[in-house]
Amino acid sequence: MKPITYLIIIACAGLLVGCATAPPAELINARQAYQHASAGQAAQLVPAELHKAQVALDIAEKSFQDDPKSFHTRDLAYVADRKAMLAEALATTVAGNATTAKANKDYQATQTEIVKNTKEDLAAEQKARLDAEARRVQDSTNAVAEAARIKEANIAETRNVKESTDAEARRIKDSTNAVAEAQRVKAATDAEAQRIKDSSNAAALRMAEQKSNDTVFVLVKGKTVVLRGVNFEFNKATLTKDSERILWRACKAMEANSDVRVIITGHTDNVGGQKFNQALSLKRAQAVKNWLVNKGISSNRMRTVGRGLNEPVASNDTDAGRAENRRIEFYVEK
Amino acid sequence: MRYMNMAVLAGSVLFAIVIAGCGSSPAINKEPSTSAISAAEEAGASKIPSASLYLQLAKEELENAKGLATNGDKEQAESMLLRAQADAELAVALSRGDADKKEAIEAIERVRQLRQDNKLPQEGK
Repeated sequence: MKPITYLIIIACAGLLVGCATAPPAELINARQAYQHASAGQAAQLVPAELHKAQVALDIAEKSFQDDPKSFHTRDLAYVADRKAMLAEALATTVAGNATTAKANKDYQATQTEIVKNTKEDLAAEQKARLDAEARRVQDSTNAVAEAARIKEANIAETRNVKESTDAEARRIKDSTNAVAEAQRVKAATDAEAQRIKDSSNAAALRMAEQKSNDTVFVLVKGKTVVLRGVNFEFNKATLTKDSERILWRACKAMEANSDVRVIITGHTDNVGGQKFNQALSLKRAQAVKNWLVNKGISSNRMRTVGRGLNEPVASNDTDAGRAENRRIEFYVEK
Repeated sequence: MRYMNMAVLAGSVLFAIVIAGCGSSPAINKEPSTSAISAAEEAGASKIPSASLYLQLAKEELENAKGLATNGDKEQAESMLLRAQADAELAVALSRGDADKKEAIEAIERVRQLRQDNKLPQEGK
């Protein structure tokens, strides 16, 4: 036999085998549809429907084995294909229903949340409104109290002013009445004071003159005499009354020794600054000189010097020492 | 004569029966298919693109089955009715699935709109 003959025979055999086993298009579609459905959500959501599709496919497969070319096989495969598609469609429906149910549940939950939020907002708003009202009432109460307090204060002030005015009026009235009496009394008092003053001065003068006669300073040229007891008012160059008794002694000594010249030196303690004490000591020396001049001692016979705190004769740490340092000295020039 | 008339009458009746039997199609049960088609139409399958095709196929297959039955091919007609019923049931499922899908989308949108109107954060954000 020729090779072409073998090929023809083999081709015919293959064609026969192929025709005998080739499934119809409906069955191919049914198989694919079932595989697709079983791989999707149908197996989980609608297993009963998928099972029906499988049963239909099994029937179609059996029919295909029994009678591959019959219209029964094609129709059964067609039905199996539609059953698989139906399972998928029902699975989609179930999934959609689940989605709807979940959405409805979410809707209800959202509504509940909104109601809750609204209640909270309303409560907060009401609380704020009540708080504002309470503050307003409190402010109003405070304002009323303040107004009452101010009114009370004004009344008290008015009463005080009235009382003061009345008192002042009474005082003025009394003063007017008393002025005449006071003038009369003052005139009498002045006269009496003048009389007493004159009497005192005379007595003091007599006493000073008497005491000054008791002792006399001895003025020796080249020597220094300390006028102990000559004091001044605090921080001033004003002589105290008691000092005059000592100064009278000095005056007598100057009169008795008319040929001597003296240097009147002022000293202070260390209270106050250097500059202040320097000036103060000079002023005090000049005060002594002026007093003596007033008593008739020639100004040409006296010079004044201020030494301030520079020449202490005792300690400045005690009251007694400082009192000793505050002094006036007569240095008799040679 | 009398017997002859009786024979003619019986023959006529028998003839009429035969004629009547040959003139009508074989009885097939179309009720499941027609019911399924009616259900699909009530579900609005004709207005839903994904379902209208299968409704149309079911109707055509029902007509084919009637034709086959008219031609005396009862067995093939009944087999064709199975196709019609399967297509009609699929059309029903697809119609309802489409409605359910729309309802789900609307429900989700309602939730989204509600949260947006009340200034609430959206789910999943």
